[in-house]
Amino acid sequence: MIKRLNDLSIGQMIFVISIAIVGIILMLATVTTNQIIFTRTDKLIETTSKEINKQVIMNYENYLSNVIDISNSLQGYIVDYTKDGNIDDLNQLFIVTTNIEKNIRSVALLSQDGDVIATSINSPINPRITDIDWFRQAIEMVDIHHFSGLHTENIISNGTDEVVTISKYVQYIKNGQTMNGVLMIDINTSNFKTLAAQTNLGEAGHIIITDQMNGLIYSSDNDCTNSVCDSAIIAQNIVLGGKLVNLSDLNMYVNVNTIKDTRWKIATFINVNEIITMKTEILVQMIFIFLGTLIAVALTSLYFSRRITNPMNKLKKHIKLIEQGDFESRVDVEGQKEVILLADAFNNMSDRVKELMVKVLNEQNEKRKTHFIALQNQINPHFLYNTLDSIVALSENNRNKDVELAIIALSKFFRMSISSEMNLVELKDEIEHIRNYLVIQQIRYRNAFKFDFEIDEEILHHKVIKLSLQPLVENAILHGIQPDESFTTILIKAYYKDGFTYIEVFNEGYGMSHERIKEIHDMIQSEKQSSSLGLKNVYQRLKLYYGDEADLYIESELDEYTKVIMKMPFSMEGEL
Amino acid sequence: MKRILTILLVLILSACEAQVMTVPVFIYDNSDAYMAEFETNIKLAALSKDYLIRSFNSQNSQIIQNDQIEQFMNNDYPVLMINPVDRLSVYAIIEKAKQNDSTIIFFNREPLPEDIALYDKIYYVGADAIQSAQLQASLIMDLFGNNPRVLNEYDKNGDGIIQTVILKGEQGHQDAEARTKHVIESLTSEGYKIEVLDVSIANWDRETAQEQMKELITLYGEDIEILISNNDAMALGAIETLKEFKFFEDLNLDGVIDRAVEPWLPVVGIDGLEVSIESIKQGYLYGTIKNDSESMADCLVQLTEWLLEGKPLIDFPYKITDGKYLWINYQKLSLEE
Repeated sequence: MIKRLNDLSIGQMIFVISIAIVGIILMLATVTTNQIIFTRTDKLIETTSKEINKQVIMNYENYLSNVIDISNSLQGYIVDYTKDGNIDDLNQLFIVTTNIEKNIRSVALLSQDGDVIATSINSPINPRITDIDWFRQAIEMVDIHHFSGLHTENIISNGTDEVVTISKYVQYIKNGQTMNGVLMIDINTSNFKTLAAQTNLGEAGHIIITDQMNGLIYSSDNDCTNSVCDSAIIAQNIVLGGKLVNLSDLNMYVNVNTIKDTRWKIATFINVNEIITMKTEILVQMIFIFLGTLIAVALTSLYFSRRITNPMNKLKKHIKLIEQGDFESRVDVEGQKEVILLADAFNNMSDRVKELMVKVLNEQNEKRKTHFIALQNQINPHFLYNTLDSIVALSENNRNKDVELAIIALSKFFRMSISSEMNLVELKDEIEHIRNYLVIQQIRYRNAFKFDFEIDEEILHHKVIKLSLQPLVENAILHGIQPDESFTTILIKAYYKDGFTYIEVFNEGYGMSHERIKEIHDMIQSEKQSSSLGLKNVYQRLKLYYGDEADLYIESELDEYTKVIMKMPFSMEGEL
Repeated sequence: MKRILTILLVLILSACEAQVMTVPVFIYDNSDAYMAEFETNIKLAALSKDYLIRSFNSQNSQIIQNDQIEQFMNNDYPVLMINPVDRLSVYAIIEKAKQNDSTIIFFNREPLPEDIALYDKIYYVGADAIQSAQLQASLIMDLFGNNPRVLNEYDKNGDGIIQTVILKGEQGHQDAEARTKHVIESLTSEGYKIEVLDVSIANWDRETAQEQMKELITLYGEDIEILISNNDAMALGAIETLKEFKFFEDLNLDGVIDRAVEPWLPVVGIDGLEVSIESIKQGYLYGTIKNDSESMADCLVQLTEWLLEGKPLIDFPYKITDGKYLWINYQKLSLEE
């Protein structure tokens, strides 16, 4: 995982990470908020619906239990009155009851054969009363009140109004005998409907009442007219309790409950469409906010990662160019402060690299040139002619031994000069080289001078510039040999002091004035090209190889001596 | 990650396994003293069992009870004990149980037989209201000498007929009707002549009975030979008024009525409450019929255990009638018993 992350570019990384973090946080926030809102609204729908359902049921229960109470009281009176044979009083009681309780349309006490014992009704009673359900049920199950469905009044033969009949088995006394009978109470259905209408169940909200066989007793919905209508089927399936259902494309919360003391169930259908729609709207809004924020974050992170990676990519391309040797082009970036600083530093660096490269190139050229000049000095043809002339002279004088010596020295001298080592040689080699030179010169100048070496043994392996001694020694011979050819001495000293290797070439002779020394110093130090003087070439090479620390200078005492001193930083290393 | 998930899963599973089965009990109304006692007996009886009892007070509202029951109609609660508020509404609960495959033990308020027949996994634990009336009649027969032709000294006017006043529970209430009807029928079928001076409806309530008794005394006074009450609460309320009117009098102030020498009027109740037993010991209440909630609770709790364990009920210690009814006998309580 981490490895795969490492493979991504900075830009992709910033993008991925910011999207991931913001995405996860937003997702969590959206989900939990939704969860909370949804559970709360669901709970709210449930409790509100249940409360409304409860209210509706209580209305019906109050209404119906009132009738049951009246029935129970009447049963008490029936026993009392019939015991004493006060049938007229009982009739009167029934009439009064219908007068006081406007819901009650009629009351009647019937014998188990369907004969009227007492009644509040003036019209003749239906002769086939014993066939009617509510009558039969009362006889069959004696200990409960029976509630019929809504039906056309059937206690009388030609009833037209809609009523609900409540029937109950009762005992009454006839001639001292306890008799079985049925007490019936008809109630108007208008209140049934009013009770349903009173409660606000929302648009298309309605109630349905069913009996224990799931038969439809009452429905406040005009579309539901029998026990197989949608609402009735839903209520039947729920049996008891609450549930959210979809009815004719509306979200309804259905509560099914029982009505006390009856065998009825009541289902309230409450329209909760608005709340459900609101829930969906909230969800959609949240998803929009979620997506919007995510896109905004994506764009911002993309923009900022571009601000960083674009200049980086430019730098990268530029580095490629430099790799290919192009130091001329410039990085030109826009972006954050750090990136601009980086680009500037990079530009400076490439400038500096270019400068250094030019310098190194120049130095190399210079070294090659001065070395070439040094070499040129060595194989100066005059030197060779003169030396060969001297050897010829030696030969003519039959100084064969000296001829041999001279030729060996000349050969060694040239071999060393053109040896493959370009720049630095060990001191002992340089000394050997110069010894050969001196031998040759001694022959040439017929021993007009003698020479000596004082070399510190310990520094024999120090590195020195190749062919640097010869011009000094040449000078010493030129200026040291007296016109009268009197004898002179050349002394070559080499020693080590304070981190420097010193080589001195000393000759006796006229010496030089300070002015002359200064003149020579100025000449060798000047930038002006002058191939004529060997000293200048040595000086230039010293500076090229060792830098400012190295030096070449002259000390002199008029009529006494001249000393040329070469000073080089100590080095045992090879090529510089 | 996988290991953490596995550990979590194991924890959850073990937590589930460790969870003890809970059986919900729905009491129609805890303010009914008898039902409160019943509930305590169920809890006591279940202490030794492997399941927990969680009881709910339905506050005498079927709507509340329906709501409570609905929440427990799921697989976590295979057995429910229900003391219904409205016995006529029970069919909906039974249908719901059928839909959910739950087992229900109803108690102390009998659903209609046609409703019980709707579903196999329904049981009823209770006492037969008729039996309580028969036993109450038996107590009365004991008092009057157990010979319908020759009543003893408690037939105060010596006319060979027992003059009685009945304190009835709720008019139309199943138990009230049954107790009232069958106590008289039992006596007459044994050959006793009985004259019901009055049936006074006191809605099972002690205070109401206390008030109504005043009226009954002024109407019938010394004519009353025995007071028959549908329950103990009304009987005890009536005794308070009777004390006031010197039908009971502790002449020697020993805190106990000696019916042989001190004024006394026989009063019989039904239920066998603790306070009734106290009253019997003090010599006031003649007797009562114990509606044995202890035995019923024991029967309920054992039946639940057997059902939860899936044991065949053929060996069940209580007799099962028609595969569904477990009738617990009433017991006569009086000084003699």
